[in-house]
Amino acid sequence: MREPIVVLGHGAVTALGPTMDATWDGLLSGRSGLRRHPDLNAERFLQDIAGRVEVPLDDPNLAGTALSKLPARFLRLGYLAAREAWLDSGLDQGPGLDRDRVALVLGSAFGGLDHLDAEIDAMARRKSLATSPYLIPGMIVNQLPGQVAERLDLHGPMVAPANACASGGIAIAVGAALIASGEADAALCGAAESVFTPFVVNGFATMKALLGRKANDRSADDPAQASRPFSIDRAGFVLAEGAAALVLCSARLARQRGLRPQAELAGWASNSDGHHMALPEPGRIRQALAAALKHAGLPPSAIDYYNAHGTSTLVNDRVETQAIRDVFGDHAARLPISSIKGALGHSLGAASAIEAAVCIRVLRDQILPPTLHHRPDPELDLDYVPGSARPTRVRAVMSASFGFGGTNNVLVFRRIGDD
Amino acid sequence: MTERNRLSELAALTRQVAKLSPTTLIAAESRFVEDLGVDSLDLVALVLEVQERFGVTIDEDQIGSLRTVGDLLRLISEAPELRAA
Repeated sequence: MREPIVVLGHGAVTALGPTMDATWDGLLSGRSGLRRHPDLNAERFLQDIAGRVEVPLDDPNLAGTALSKLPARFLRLGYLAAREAWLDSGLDQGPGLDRDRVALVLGSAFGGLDHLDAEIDAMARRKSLATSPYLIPGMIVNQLPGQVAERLDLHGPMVAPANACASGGIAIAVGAALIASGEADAALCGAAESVFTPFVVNGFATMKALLGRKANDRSADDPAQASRPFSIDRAGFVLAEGAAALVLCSARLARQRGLRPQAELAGWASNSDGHHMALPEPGRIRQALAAALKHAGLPPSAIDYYNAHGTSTLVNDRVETQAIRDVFGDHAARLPISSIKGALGHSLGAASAIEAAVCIRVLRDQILPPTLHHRPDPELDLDYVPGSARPTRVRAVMSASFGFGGTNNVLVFRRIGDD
Repeated sequence: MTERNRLSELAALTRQVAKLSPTTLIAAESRFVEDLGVDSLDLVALVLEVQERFGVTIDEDQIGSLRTVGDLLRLISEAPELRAA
């Protein structure tokens, strides 16, 4: 039997608040983090409804550090979430932690494109062709694990998954694989995203993946309703920013350090569609769900909650629902499914990391976050936990994410001590 | 602009670019690396900002020889744009 991999800590920064507690409280009380933002004005942006972290990210303790000079927001968001997860893990308490064996696996779909956007304007103003010397360091995706390594004094293997909307889930799977292979004792894994630039907002809107401005849409009166996963009138996702991280380690290390695991990462699976630049491939998604179950050694009926990718796009929610039906069979009708993107919007690479952190809370508190703004679609007939949070017994949960470029990731978490 | 005003403006700009804490003392004698923790990338950023703020042209090859805030102040004063004025 392989050595179990456990979750020791988790943290998140989302449109519902700058901490995991704030995010979880908001989700359980059915609040939305989505609203209109005047700076996403109609002259430059095809949508002004978004999920943003609306607290100042300035930290006087960071004066003079690289993080204070790199304006790319994904770095600051990712650092805050990683720090919260790291402190939550307790790994830093007591002597003898081998900091060279803590892996840093923190990704992002786009990295610091917001910095690039600002720099394009600055370059136009300058007489020379020089750019800010911080542009390249701040744009590269692996600057996130780089900064976290610097601030938290961790020095194991570094990986920065850039797997579009599956980046966070892939990061967790890669972190687990590094521990399982013996290359690391622990891994700080997750993802961060913040790309409110015209390229990204208008790019997704032009593809009809992101809901654009629409006068006859229900978001016209209530912006929060722009994101409505699995609803009959779903019409695209709402862009959000955010970050989340988990700390993983072997069950043995947790025991040695006297730390109490929050959950077990029982299984994970990733695959590649090899099919289309942006459209999902139902067969591969089905395979990924089934492979994660197999890896966890669990039958479909053992899953008590499915945390959906659930983007609120026409295609994803239909394909995902069908894949759940195919893989879970009779159990699908009894399986509660929810998408927290109804409340948070879609933070691209960060979303699956946030969803994984939420799954840890689901197992801890035995309650399911709802899918907000749901209006039934006769074609999608499963239990989407509409409207309000639902207390229930939860022993094992599955969380899935699928990204452009044909990348799929599925994680299975299990409560400790249910064997 | 007097030399003194120029120094205080340069000090403020240095603080802003290198994100130094409000309590860090910046004088003409302050050494960028040793006293202020301003590294080579910060210096490039600072010289870019200086050119915009003071309306001067600074040969970027000179950045490598800047050791103190006073050295940069001298480069600004000697810039062709200010000498002609």
